[in-house]
Amino acid sequence: MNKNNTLDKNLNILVALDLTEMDAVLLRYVSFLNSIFSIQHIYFAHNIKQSVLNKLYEDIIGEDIHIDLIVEEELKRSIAQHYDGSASHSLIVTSEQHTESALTDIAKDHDIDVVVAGDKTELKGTGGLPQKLVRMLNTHLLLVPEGSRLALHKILAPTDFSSNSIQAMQAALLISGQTKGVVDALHVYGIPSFYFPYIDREKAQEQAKKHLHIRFSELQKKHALPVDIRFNYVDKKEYSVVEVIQREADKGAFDLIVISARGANNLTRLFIGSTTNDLILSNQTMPILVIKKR
Amino acid sequence: MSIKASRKDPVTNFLGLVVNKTVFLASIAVIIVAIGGTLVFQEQADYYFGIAQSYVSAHGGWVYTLGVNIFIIFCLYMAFGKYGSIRLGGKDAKPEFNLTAWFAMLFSTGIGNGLVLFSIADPVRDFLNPPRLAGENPTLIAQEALNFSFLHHGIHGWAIYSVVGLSLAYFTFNRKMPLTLRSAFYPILGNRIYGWMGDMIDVMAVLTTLFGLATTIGFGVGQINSGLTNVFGVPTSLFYQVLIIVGITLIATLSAFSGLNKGIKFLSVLNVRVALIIFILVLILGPTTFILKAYIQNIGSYLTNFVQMSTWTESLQDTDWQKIRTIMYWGWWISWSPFVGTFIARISRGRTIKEFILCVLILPSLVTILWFTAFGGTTMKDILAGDTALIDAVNADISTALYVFFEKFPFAILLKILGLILIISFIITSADSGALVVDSITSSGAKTPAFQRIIWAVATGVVAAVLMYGGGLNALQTAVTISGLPFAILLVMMCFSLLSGLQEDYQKDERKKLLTEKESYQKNLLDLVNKEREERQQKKKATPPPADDNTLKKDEQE
Repeated sequence: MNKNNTLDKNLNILVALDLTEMDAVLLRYVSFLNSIFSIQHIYFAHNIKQSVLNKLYEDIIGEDIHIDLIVEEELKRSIAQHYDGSASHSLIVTSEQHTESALTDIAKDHDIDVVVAGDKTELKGTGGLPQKLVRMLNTHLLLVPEGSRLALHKILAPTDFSSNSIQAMQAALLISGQTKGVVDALHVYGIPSFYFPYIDREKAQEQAKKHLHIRFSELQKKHALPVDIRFNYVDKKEYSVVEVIQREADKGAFDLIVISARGANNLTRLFIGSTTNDLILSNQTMPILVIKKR
Repeated sequence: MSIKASRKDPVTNFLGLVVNKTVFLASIAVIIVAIGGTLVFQEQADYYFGIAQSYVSAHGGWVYTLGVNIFIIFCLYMAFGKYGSIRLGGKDAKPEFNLTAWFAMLFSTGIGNGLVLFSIADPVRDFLNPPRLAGENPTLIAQEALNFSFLHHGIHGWAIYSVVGLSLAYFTFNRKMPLTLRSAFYPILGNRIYGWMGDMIDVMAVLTTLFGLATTIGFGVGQINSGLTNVFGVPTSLFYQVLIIVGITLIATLSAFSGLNKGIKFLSVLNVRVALIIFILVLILGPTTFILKAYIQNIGSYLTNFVQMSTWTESLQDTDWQKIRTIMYWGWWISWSPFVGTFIARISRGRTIKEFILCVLILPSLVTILWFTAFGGTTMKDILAGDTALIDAVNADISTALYVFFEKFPFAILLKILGLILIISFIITSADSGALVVDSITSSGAKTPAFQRIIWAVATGVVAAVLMYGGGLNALQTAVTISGLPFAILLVMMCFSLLSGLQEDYQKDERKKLLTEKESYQKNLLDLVNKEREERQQKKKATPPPADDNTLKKDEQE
C-alpha cells in the first residue's frame, strides 16, 4: 500500500453542512461510514456567509439574538437527529465570506483526511462548491448526492493507467476490502478512425483490447494489485470519456466511483477541463471519492 | 399608453428566393459595376488601385501591425480569462461536429490553398530579398526567411479569424441573432444594425468574400494548370484555365447544393487526409530527421523573435519590403475574415470559448509551422547546399514551385498527383463554403432553399472566369487588400463589442447564481431566527411577568 494513501489509518473526517435538507443525507451517510472506516474524529462544519450575516444584522438590530448561537443549536439538533455513528464528533461554526476557503483552513488545522460534502442538483453546471473544493483542498473529497445508497459493495475505478489513477484504484481496493465488495477497473479508449478511415474497426478493437490487457497485467504486477480485480475496457466511439464513465457507472449500478484528482497528464487540466472535473459536474447519481495526492 | 414598435422582417421572398432584398440587390449591383469597371478601365484601375495601395500601406500600415497584435492578446484573454468556459450556444449546447471534422473544416477553409502555394515560394522569396539581414550569413537569412513566413501565415492571421469567428458565433448562438456580420456590432450600434449601417456592413462582407474568393480561385487555377502541364503535359493557356474554373465551379455547386453536412464536410475531411498523406510521405521520403529537428528549432526561433518581428514597422529603414509583403498579407487575411469568420462561426456551436481559441488560433498555427518546415525548411536546406532549382522555379512562376520540389523525391509522379488533388480540393472547399457564407449573409441568416446557394457558387466562378479572361485579377486583389484597412478598424470595434456583450452576460449570470444561492441561504437563516423569536415569545407567555418583584422591592424600601 502506498504510504501517501491515508485511508487505512484512523481517519479525521470533515463534513460540510449547509443547513439544507442535504444535511440529513450527509449525516446518515457519515453514520454509515462509521461501519467501514476506523474513524478517529468527525468534525461537522458550517460556514455562515459573512455577507448574509451582515444583511441579517439589520433585521435583528436591538433584539437579543445571536445568529451564530442559533445556527449552532440548529446544527446540533440536526446532528443529534440524523447522526448515529460511534465516532466522537465536534461542531465548528465559522463566519467567512468564502465557504471553500473556510473549509480548506479547517482541513489544514485539524489534519483532516477526507472532506465530505453534498452534491446538489440545483447547482449543476454552475461551477459550484465541489469544483472549488477539488481545486483547493489538500485532502480526499467525498461528494455525496441526494439519494445515495448506504452501501459500498460495487466500486468503479476508472483508470488511464497513470500512477495517479492507480492510487485511486488502491483506495478503492482498500474500501472493498473492508466491505467484502468488488472493484471494477474501467478504461475508456478511442480509435482514431477519423484519420485512418480504412482500418477495420473490429480488427482495431481487437488489437486495442489485446494491447490493453497486456498493459493492465503489467500494471497489476508493478503495483501488486490483486489478480481477481475485474478490468473492463470500452470503446468510447463518438462519446466523451466522461459520458462513457457515467453510462457504465449507471449501467453497473455502482455504489461509488473512485477517481484521482489528476490523470495521466498533469498539464491538461490547465487548458481543458479534466475528466475528473467534468465527471463531478455531470454525476448526480452516486457518491464520488476524489483521491488527492499528498 | 405604450407605443408598440415593430421591426419589419428584413427577409422577404423575392422571385422565389429567401433574401434580404437590400443586401442581395446592392451586392449584385456592386459586383456587376465593379467587374464591368475593371474590365473597361483596366489600365486606369491598375494604376489608381496601385497608388491607393501604396498610400494605404505607407500611412496605414502601422494600424494593421497594431491591430493584429491586439487581436492575439484579445484572443488569449478570451481563452484563459474568466470567459473561457462560456459555451457557444448556451450551457447545454452539444457540438454539431466532432473535434476532428470541425478542425478539418475550419483549417481547410481558413488556410486554403495558401498552405500549398506559399510554403515553398515565400521562404525562397524572402531569402533572395532579405528585408533586414542583407549581406549577413546565409544561414541567418534562411532562418529569418522562415520566421517571416511563420509570421505571415501563423498565429496573427488566425487571430484575425478567431476574432470574427468568435464574435459571430457568440452573437448568433448565445444571443440568437442572424448569422451575418452586422450582428457582431449590436452592443455598439444597437438597433441601428437593422438599418442602413447594418446593410452596409453586410454588403461589404459579401463583396470582400466574393472578390477574395475570385482572386484565390484565379491563383489556384494557375497552379492547377501548371500542375497539369507538369504531370500530363496539358498546355498552360487561358482556355484550359477557364475550363478548369468551369469544372471547379461545377463541383463546388454540387457540394454547396448538398449542404454543409455532406459535401463541404466530405471535401474538408478529404483535404486534411490528403494533406496528411503528402506530409507523411515527404517526412518519410525526405530528410526525416532534418524536418523534425528543424520543427523544434523553428518554433523556438519564431517564439524568440515573435515580439520583435510582429511589432517591426520598418520605421528606421528606407525600404518597401514590409509594405509589399507583411502589410499585403495582413490586408489579405483581414479581407478573408468575414468569409472564414462566418464559416467558422457556423460550425462552432457547442464549443467553449477556450476550445475555440485553442483550435482556431493555436493548433492551426502549429500545423502551419510544421508544414512550412517540411516544405520551406527543406527547400532552404537544399538552397544553402547549393541547389538552385527552386530559386529558378519561384522566380519564373511561383505556382510551379511545389512540382519542382517533388521532383527530387522517389515516386515523384505520385506526390505530384496528390499535390494536384490537394490544390483542387482546397479550391473547391473555399468556393463552396464561400457560397454558403454569401448566401447566409444575403439572406440575413434565414433558412434558404438549397438552389439559392447555387447562384453564389456560380457567381464566384463567373467573376473569376471573367476577370481571368479580361484581366484585372491583380487590380481586384489590390482593391481587396486596400479594403482591409477599414475592416481592421471594424475588427477592433468588434473586439470591444464582443467584450461588452460577454461582460453583460457574465455579470448577469454570476449575479443570478449568487443571488439564488445567497437568497436561499439567507432564507434558511431567517427561518431559524424567526423560530427563535417564536420560542422566546412562547417562553415569555409561559413564565409570569416579573411585576411582583418590583412591588417587593418597593416594600423593602419602605
